[in-house]
Amino acid sequence: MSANGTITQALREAAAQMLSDKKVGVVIGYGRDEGQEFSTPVFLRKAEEVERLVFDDLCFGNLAVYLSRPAIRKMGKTGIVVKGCDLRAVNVLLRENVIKREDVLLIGVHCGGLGEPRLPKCLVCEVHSPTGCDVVVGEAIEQPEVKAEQRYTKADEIEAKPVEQRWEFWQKQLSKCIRCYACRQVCPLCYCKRCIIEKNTPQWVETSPHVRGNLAWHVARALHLTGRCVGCGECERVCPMDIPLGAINQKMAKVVDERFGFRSGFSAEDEAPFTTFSTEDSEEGIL
Amino acid sequence: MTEKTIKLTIDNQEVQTEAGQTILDVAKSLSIEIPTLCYHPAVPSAGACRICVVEITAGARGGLVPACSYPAQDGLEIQTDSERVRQSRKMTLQLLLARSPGAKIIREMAEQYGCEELPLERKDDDCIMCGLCVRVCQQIIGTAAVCFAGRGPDREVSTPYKLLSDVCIGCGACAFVCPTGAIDPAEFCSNPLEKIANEFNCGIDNRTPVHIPFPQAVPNKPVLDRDNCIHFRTGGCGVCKETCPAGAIDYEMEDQVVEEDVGAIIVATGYKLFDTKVFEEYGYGKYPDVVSSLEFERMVSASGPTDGQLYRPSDGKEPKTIVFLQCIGSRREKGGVPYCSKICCMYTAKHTILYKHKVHDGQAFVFYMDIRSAGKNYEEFVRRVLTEKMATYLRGRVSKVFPRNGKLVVRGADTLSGGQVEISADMVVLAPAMQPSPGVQELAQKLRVGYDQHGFLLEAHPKLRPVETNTAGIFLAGACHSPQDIPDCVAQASAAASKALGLVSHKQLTREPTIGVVNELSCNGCFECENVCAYKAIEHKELRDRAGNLTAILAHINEGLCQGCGACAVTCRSKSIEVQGYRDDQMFAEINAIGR
Amino acid sequence: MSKEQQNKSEKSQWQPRIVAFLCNWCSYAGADLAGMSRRGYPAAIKVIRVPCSGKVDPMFVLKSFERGADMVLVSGCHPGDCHYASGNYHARRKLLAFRELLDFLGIDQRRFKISWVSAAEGAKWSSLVKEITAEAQALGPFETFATMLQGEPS
Repeated sequence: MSANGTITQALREAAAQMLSDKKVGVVIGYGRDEGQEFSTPVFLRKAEEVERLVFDDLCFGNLAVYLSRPAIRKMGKTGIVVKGCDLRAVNVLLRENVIKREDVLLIGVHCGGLGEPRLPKCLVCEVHSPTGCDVVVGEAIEQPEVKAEQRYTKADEIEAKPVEQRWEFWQKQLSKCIRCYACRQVCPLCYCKRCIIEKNTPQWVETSPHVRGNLAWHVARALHLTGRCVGCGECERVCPMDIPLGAINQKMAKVVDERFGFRSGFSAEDEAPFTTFSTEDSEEGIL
Repeated sequence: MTEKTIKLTIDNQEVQTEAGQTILDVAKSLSIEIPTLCYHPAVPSAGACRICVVEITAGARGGLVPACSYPAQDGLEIQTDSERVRQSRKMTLQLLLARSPGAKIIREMAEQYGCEELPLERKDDDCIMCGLCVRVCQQIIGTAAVCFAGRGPDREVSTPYKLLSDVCIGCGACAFVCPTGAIDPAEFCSNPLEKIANEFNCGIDNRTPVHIPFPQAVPNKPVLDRDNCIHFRTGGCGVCKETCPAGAIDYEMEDQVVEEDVGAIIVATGYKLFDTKVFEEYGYGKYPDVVSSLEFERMVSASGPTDGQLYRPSDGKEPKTIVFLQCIGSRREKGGVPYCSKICCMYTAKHTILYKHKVHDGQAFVFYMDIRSAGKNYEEFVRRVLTEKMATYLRGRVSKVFPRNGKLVVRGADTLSGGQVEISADMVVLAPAMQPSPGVQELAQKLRVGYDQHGFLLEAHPKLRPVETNTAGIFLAGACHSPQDIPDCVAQASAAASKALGLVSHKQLTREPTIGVVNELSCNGCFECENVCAYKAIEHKELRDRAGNLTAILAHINEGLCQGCGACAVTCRSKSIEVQGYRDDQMFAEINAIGR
Repeated sequence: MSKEQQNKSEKSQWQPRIVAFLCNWCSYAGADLAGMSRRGYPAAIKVIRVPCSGKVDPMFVLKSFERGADMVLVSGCHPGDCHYASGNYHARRKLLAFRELLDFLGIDQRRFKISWVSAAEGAKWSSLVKEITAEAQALGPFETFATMLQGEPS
């Protein structure tokens, strides 16, 4: 049996156990129905449903997005399948008091990477093995060394262009946006009860799909995710217009990494860079 | 009569007193003067010098006894100035005079008792071998650095083996108690001698560890300088505690941090003088006769270190020519401060008058840039100095002060006559710029009060709110705000005090309504606002359903604590916090109005 | 008049529009002091008073550009002197990161200024405004942004 096959089996056993023991009200995992191109989220309430659970290298979704949903929270304690990268989002949710640790049961999986060829984020993954979970399934995977300069290659690539070309590039990209807000829906950290886009007294961001509002929307999103985004890349994956949204978030992650030595989601006890300060912060460029 | 109470007669005065005192103590309480040499109230008596002898005429075996060590007993009758006593003292003094003819106190006493010089070999040694220094060092300080050495004619006070003593701590107690001034610890002490500069007198003289900080101090009480006190350093001494009649000295007392809740704070941290050492051309710190105006002020003060006598610091002579230099550091963009220190013109004019009062035939010169004498009767005062020829005023700056033939040559420009002048002066007085006290910036940051580039604290409005600051309840008085003379300081202090009283005299505090408010419908309860709030104004508000179950914990802003800075509003991603008066719709309306 | 000369004269007549967010306690008071000390500064600067530089949401800056600002300035108290103890430290973090984001998106960083001007620095305020107005004048109208604003809906 393949490594992922073993994981699937172990996941089913663990899920069945916790559901039948009534330790959790729901288990969120991945399933794959006939004809599906990749694995999609499944929500299991009963032990007999666990056969639907799978784990393979097409489990793209970041299931942490569901943890903040009121409907899920009503089901009681939530068991959730998390890859190392998803766990970073869970850590941010814990830090921001969205969930309490005792309300979730984390089922970690050792993940060797997704997609064929592998997703760029998986090539520089630093969290093949999740830590701090309640249950971990699968064999530990050797963690290759990832150099600091490999972390933000997408942002680096765009940054290398001259400023006029960057403007051209982003104008072209952002003018495509149809304001479907799929990027927001899929983001585990976009859990606001009322999104800034919905605040219309005053109107913070123009809502019609015009490039000026598109720019404002994506700037607002980038700012709201600065120091929080864990780089799961879901926004970019789900974007129907193929806008490279991940690059913007990666740029901001790079900014907080370089300026404040901060990387999001590696611990639930972190202080987010925008909620603290140092008197020694850079003064560069201030008149 | 209890056992402890005794009755005795001194010089025919009957006195009732407690047992355990010496005759000298009792005589003192009757204001009967008995001369002493080897006696010091803080040091156990030894009866060594025999100057204090008195005659017992009844109540005990009659005869001459030393008053400093003979215990007062019931029924004693004592004569302190009988013929026999005077004869005895005269003989003692005649012998002492032969030994120590140079000692001032011996000469004075000998004269008082009508002594003539005996045909004895003169010794010319000021030390009268009373041993007071030895006793104080051993029994009070506890170091025993000095002792008697040798026998007979060779007997002297010295250190063991007559070597430089490293036991001696250089406290100077021996020199302090010596009746004839014969002992100099510098001769035998291998440690540096203690000399505590008197801060109030700009270090011109020295003070003791227990001292009253300055004349007319409020409260006018001594303080104990722990760093220099022998008791705190060696555990010995304790003289002040033993001798204090009120028993006010308590070595166990510790510094305390006292916390008080107050409604208003008045900042009155004063000023310091510009360090004129940086201007090498004036020679301050290099030539002792170049002094600052504050040092001069102390020198001519009747309560100052010289009791109002004006001496040159270098040789103690009266300065016959004195030059005052104004604007030292003031109005000097490079290396100094750009502002006018405001008070120097007036005090220099006063100094010239004071100088003339002290040295009638002296000549004073003043180098000035402009005479700034705005103020009630100020111009008239300066005019008087000029017309009465208290000083010669020269408009110009001084380029150099340097010594020549025991004098200081002041070389400067006289711009009104258009020439260079050189004045051969005995003394030079600099008028340094006024600066805010050191540490005032840290204080300002704690109080959240603004300050300018020089460190002077900022008022809320230069015209309309001159003693208030931008932080409610904090007021300014005096030189922490700007260079000010005494009338200005008094006026500002009065204004600050009445502003503070106006604030605290109301039962309720009126405050700005511009504070933050949380929209509970959209608050996520992430409490990032709590992290950025500098005032701990964010509270956790529990929302419950009808059954009392906790449904959410949301942010709530304490109206009393919030200062309305808006840091929370920017941090809030769901835009659930608005600052009243700076609401987002108001901000956007402003931005829109400015736009094209 | 040749076309070139005409352009030139138009450009010299053109006045930039600079939106300035000034904190109430330092920079606003500093600007006030400049006025009280009769120090002039160009009228191109349009001042919006905020309680603290920490109250300036980066979106305000973007909004100002959307409304046609050629340059935006945020000015607060010097570090350590914030009336609210730490507002300017928060502002410094946020606004400098925001400036990097603007740069990344191709917006000229020179159009977004941050400064510290204390209540005593009337002279600094006056010279700062002169300086940045001259710079805005040299940069010319924010045409790239204006083109975007007028662009077709997507």
